[in-house]
Amino acid sequence: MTIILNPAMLADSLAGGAVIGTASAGLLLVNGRIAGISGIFARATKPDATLWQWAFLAGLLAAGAGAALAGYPLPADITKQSLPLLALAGLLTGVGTRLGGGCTSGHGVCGLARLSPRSLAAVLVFMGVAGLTVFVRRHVL
Amino acid sequence: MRALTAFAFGLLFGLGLLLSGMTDPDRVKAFLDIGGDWNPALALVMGGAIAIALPAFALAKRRKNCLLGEAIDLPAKRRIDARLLLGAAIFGLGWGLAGICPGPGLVLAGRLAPGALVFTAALYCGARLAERLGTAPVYSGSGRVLPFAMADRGRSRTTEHGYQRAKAWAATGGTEHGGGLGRRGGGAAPLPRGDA
Repeated sequence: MTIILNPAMLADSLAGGAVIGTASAGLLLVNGRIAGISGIFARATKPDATLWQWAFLAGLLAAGAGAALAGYPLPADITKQSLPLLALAGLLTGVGTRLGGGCTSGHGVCGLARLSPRSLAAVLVFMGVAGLTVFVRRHVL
Repeated sequence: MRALTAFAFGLLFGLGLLLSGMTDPDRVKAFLDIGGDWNPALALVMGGAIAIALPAFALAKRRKNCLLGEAIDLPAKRRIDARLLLGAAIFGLGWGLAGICPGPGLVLAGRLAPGALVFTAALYCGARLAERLGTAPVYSGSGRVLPFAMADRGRSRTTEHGYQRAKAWAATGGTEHGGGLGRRGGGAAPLPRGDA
């Protein structure tokens, strides 16, 4: 095992995290809602959905569209992965985040910031299983 | 107004994901790969986000209403149950396979990357599938109810319909098969215990 420490990457991650935290704090204090993306996504198509959910999701899409227009390169890995694998991963992510009531944003950022034991348990499990999945695919299979 | 601020926070969230490296599946997998060349940078994403969000949540707990006037909607669920752990494990498997979680999936879909569009479409199907699994009483071979058929004690709007269905089912003799409502059903056999 080698640890890669790239100062520029570390700084970007910390700054990006702070921006994510600011957005979560803003949605909470201004709109009174938790920035849990899997939940917002799943509820947007429900009969009782309201416009704010679509607006938040549109914001996320707009960030991606903006990055494309600004010429920010598309991560190579997203084009390298096979579509059936991405479909399977998406399906598992959809099932898992609904059963588990949250993803990296809802449990990982908002839940931990709320000091929720439920979210801590979820984060430990999904991080652990994700790590194990990568380990098995890269070093065992 | 609510939609306008929600759009702004969604945009900001997406820009944060882009800056942080979370939208690069390769970097996500490098972060998850503790057995190989481990890149711990993404731990700082969660760290940085929590550092900012922590005081906001502390403040939200003491306030009743948000700035736009509505009641602040904080989750009511408390129990660490089998459904939570099973769901988190399934999500972990999906995240580990592709290195994409829902937020980055949507950001990448916004730039029309075919892989991200497929991921997002599948994410939608998975969410709908989970609601079906979670709302109908499901029997295991032993006649017990599987963990995800449990009606939650603190239930969200998404599971409300399933809760009502489970309650109606339990009232019509569901308890004979082990109790659709877990500890609520009179004399019901205990559900498989996955919760702490």
